[in-house]
Amino acid sequence: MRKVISNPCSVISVQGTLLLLLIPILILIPSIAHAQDGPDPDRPTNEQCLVCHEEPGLSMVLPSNEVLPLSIDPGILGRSAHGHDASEEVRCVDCHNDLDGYPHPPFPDVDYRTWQLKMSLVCGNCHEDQATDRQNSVHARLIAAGKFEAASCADCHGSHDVFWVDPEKHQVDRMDQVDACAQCHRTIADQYKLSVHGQEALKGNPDVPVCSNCHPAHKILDPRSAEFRLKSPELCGQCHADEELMAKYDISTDVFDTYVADFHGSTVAIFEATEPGVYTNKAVCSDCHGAHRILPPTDVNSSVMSANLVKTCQRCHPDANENFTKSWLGHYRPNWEKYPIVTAVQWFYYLVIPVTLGFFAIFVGTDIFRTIKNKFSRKKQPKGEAEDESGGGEDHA
Amino acid sequence: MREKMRTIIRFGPIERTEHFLLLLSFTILAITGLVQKFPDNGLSLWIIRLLGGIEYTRTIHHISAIVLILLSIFHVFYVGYKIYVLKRPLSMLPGLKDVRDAIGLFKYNLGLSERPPEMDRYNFGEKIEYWAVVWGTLVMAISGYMLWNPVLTTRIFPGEFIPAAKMAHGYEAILAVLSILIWHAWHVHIKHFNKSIFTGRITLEEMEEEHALELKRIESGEWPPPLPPAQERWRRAVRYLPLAGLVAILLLITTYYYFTEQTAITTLPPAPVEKAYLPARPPGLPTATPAPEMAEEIPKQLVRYLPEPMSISSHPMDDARADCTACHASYSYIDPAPLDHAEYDVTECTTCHQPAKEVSQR
Repeated sequence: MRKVISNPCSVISVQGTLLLLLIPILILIPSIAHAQDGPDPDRPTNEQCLVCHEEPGLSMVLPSNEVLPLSIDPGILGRSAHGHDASEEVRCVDCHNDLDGYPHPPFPDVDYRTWQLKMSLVCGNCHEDQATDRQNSVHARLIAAGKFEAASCADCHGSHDVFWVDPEKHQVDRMDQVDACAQCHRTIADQYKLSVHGQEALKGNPDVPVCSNCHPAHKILDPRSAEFRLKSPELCGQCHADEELMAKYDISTDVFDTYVADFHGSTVAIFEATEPGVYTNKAVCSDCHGAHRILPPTDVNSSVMSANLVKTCQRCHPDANENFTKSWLGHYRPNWEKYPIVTAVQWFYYLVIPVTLGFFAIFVGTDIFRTIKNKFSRKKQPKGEAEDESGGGEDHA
Repeated sequence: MREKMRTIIRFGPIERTEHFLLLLSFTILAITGLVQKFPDNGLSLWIIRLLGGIEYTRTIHHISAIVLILLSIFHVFYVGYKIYVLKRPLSMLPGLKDVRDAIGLFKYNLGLSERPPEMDRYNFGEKIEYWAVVWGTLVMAISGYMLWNPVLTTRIFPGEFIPAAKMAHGYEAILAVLSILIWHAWHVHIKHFNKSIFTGRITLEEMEEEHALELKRIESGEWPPPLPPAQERWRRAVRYLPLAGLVAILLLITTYYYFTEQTAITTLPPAPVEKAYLPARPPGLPTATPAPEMAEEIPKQLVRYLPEPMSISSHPMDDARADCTACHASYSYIDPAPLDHAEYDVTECTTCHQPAKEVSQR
């Protein structure tokens, strides 16, 4: 049995008196606004809302006994992406479209989170594409499945302090985005910050990926899904197969090609093409290199550092030994210095295949020549030509 | 002409069955293998889909491989039986005559000589093909075993043998398939369709063209050489069969080892240790900064989600790290304690925060 508290004034003690004093002013405001404002005189302006909501410490207690803060810092609102430009200003009532003047309608009997999720739906009114993209995201699916703690719009973007996201148009610190994810994925963000990517990102390097480069915002897939698993090498390949980018860091772009050429990679590629919904136990990049705490192979803590390799292999190949680790060519193409046996086999076939097939081709070629010649010379003999012409080929069969 | 259409027996039922099994297993191996060699080819993917996915394709490849290996083992003992017990001549062994025949036929093809060479029971083209199959099967069986059982292989050999085996397996396959398409297809399908390996019989005309020497020897009664007397055969069989049986059992056990290795786990690789969902603060907190004086009450009232206490996974527990708050105070950057932990005592930390399994094992 929850009591619906429709009027915030009834539960707020300290500010109550102050608000009571303001009520007459509020009632007068619409008529003032009417005279001042241009385009849509019926909708309250932000100034009108802020008359009350600017007041610090304003709050109400929800039926669920949670405190809903009602104070808005006009400074934060003004600096936000929605409030920066007075001419394009998004008004409070654009989002809070259930409110329309004062007194406000009764607050619905929902808890804080439910209310927040409901409010996030209004974002789609303007940001249609993003809202559509989001429908299949892991977060939206979790919310639909009743896990309300999964992120919705405001959890990442902020609500009144919604911040800029386009680094091309505005000065955006990419680490803000990591911090947004870190609100819920704290341990992963910490791991990421220790990784070679995270360390560079902290220094402001724009080349390294932050969360959303691999987990595209809005469309974010469940990283545990088969689809994501099979696609993940391509994610790494976005950068690691980019020659221009990799040249800056002296990283070979062969890593992607050599992976796809080897057993694990080609199997994963086949799965992606033929059975995209099926899990495969063949290793993807992150199985060896780690997903978030990726360290350079020279780092002693790296899972792919040569001394740690046997442990890494054993995660999938429990009986593997030191020798076994050498069966992976470390993303190198076969060459005489590093892998003489493989290269020797390669060159053996580079010689044997053309020589053998060349011999076959030359011999068969002359044989074809002779066979045809014999057939013609046989035809020239007086015996019925037409007969032989039709039956010539099948003669021997 | 009618005389020439007369046929004589060239292959017995065992040879014909052997060829049929070889034809079957080779074709399946080639198809299911080449699609793996060229996985980005559209036709390959189409075939893989047709076969029900890559795992099924590999299983079919493995089964055909076992058929071919069993066939090869049988063939070795059958040839041994024919040579030792039945005292058949080694008609498949290459000799100088084959080189002369090859040169002779080459000259004839170019018109440098008037007549093609007269060839024996197996002409040089057939010998090339036979020994190519022997070589190819050996290479494919050994390299295939290494690929199928890399863990067992690397117990004995250096790891580099595995990629070397993969290289050999792929290139040998291409060599074998192209050889079949050029050499075999030309000689017994295109030049004329020689059905003797299926029917067992060959026409005298074909014999004249391809095995003229053998035909002459048959006509003169020289060929086939007489079988040893029954007693002699029996004596030899008693010696040969038990020994062959023993070696065969050993080879079959080796073949069985093709299946034994559990190369990899059959499940997915273990997931990363990080816990995916571990909010720094309960979700549902207002995202706009609340007024300063409210900061203290809000978390207490809003605690609805009680995340599992974080386990200590990044470092061991030792005396140097006895004071948790030295690093994890509520204002710290490294995994800060939540605000509501302020009243807890430092000694109480490990009541909830246990060292993670992988750390305690270290």
